[in-house]
Amino acid sequence: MFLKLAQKISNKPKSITAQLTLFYSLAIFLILAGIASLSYIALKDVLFEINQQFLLDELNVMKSLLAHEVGDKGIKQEIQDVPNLPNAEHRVLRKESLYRYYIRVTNVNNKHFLETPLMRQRLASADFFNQQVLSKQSEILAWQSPEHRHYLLLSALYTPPYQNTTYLIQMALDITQQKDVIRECRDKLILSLNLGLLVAVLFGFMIAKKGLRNLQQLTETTRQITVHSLHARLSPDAWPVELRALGQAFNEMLERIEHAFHKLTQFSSDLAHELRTPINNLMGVTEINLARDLTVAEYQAVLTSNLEECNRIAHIIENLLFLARADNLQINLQKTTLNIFDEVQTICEYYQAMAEEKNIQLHCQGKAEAQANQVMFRRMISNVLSNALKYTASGGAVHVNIESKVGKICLRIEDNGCGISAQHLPRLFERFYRVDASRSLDSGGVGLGLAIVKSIVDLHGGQIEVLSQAGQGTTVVIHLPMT
Amino acid sequence: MRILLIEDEKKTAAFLQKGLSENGFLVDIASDGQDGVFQASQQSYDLIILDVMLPKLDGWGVIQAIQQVKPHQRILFLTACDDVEEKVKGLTLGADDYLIKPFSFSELVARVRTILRRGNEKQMTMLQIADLRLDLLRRKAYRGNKKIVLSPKEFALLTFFAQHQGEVLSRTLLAERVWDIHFDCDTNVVDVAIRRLRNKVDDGFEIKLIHTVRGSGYVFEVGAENIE
Repeated sequence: MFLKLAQKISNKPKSITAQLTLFYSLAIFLILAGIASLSYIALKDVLFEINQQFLLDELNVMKSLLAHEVGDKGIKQEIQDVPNLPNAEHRVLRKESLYRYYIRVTNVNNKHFLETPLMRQRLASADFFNQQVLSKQSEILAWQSPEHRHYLLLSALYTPPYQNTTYLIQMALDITQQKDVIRECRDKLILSLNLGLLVAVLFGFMIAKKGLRNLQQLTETTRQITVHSLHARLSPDAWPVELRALGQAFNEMLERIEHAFHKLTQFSSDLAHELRTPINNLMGVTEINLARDLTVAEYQAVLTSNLEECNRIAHIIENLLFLARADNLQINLQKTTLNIFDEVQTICEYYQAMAEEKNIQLHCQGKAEAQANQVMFRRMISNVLSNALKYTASGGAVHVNIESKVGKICLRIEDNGCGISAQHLPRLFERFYRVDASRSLDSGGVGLGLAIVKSIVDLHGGQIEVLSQAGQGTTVVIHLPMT
Repeated sequence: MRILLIEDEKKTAAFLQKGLSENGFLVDIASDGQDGVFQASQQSYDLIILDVMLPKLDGWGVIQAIQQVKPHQRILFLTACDDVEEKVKGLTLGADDYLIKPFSFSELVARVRTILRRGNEKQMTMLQIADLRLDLLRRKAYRGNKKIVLSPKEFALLTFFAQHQGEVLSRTLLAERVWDIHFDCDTNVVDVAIRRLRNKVDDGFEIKLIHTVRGSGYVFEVGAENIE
């Protein structure tokens, strides 16, 4: 039952402020309490030590007096010349003298004794004189009188050397004042402990609030973010170190979202733009031809043209969907171990007829194994080869070189075609980017081939690089991790 | 051959019915999932073509329901979503093949024929069409008494043509079956390959065998004119 309750409480989401305050206060309280109790105990110990030393010293004085046979007079002088306690106490106890200590020396043989004045009255009810106390001689005992005064009692039997008389020395030290001091000290310690705790709670709360104030800013910024204000950023430089990382991570997240959103917007407008051309063709051709009577052959020509445009649209959609999914990492990469040479060879065989037709040498050499998605890998090689063949003139050559390096494979697709001038290189992988728009359209491309190659390489965690100079041929270098 | 077409889009259903009928199939139409399952269980069809997005009962539900009644029913499904998982799901449930929208009609016919032929294919060692002879074991081709020298891929392409006489074969299908290219890519390559094959097989012979069907692909048959 209680366990369940405790679990329930611990499962409840807690306020960080409350927790911080609690632990901070607890720590401060424990430290204060530790210091207080240590000083309290130390004070008590020191006072007891002083008292004990005092009593033992006085005992030695008495013993020495007895040994030197100073006589009653000498002893009286010692035991009656006792300092009074401070005056303040007198008023409390009916103006009677309060001595700091009391001494009685009794001759055991003849019961003759000398004592400090008032000793009998003050200590009347103490078990000071009975056997039990006597047997515990030389042991200091604490005793409280009915008047609520505190004493330390010490009794000792003493037979001075070369004498046959035994003396009983009894002493009582009034420690009421010390007790009061200790009690007062304790009370003050407890009071300051409580005050300290209160201050600690207050400070803890303030520190936690201050520390978490930046979270408030984070919350507000987050609340304000919509698709129109993705550029909003936090300014975490002034934040505490711990939160700065969060603030920076948050900014980076915004950065990525903004980038992705921008790409998405770009994608939609590209899509609309690219579909416009074939749809325009479809509409135009259909409309013009509907306006007049046609022969069957003419109808066939129109429909064929329309079909070609439709195929083109389907082609664009297929490619764009592939890219969109690759962007969102929605593609489930089902990697298998591929013999890279065989895969490249399959694609080369496909392009062989084309190469022979254009009188281009198409070669593949080297070997390697790597884990990759087969269809994507082939598609990547196919797109690169298709480009290479497209831009290489008759009599040229296209070489694919496969190399296996530490943990990765390196594919170099090299042609000696027309090359690409430097200004186009950085933008080659952009969607719908064409080095020469008219020519690409002519050869059936829609400017997505290399963008697809790039996303396939990215999906596999590889790198791609295009080295080229106008008129000197192009080399595409692809690095893929083996696993 | 009877085909049940389960498709809720009226225009799509109409053109598919028209096209398939012209290719010699008897086509019934069901316009939602439940109706489709009902018709499929009442009558016997050689093939069911179904759209995945259907009202009342979706394509997956239809496949499962039909599988319970007729576990050997051949099914081809059409989907607008080319997710790998979608395809795998359909095939796992027991469909025979799929096509992604938009698809070319000749592609559909080719796949329908392939499914219907499944299981009845004979292992042939020789093929003869007009005066073209193909020795599948020795991988040699002859036209009359003249030997035709072909590269391995050209031989594979010619064999595929010969095995699908009279069918319109799309470039995509040819790339897939002959070159093992299962993705969208430059299909001009297929045209080049076929042009080169034609030079070897048809040039200089009276009877032309390989014909272009403009906008759709190619057909291999005796005597037809080029439909340019």
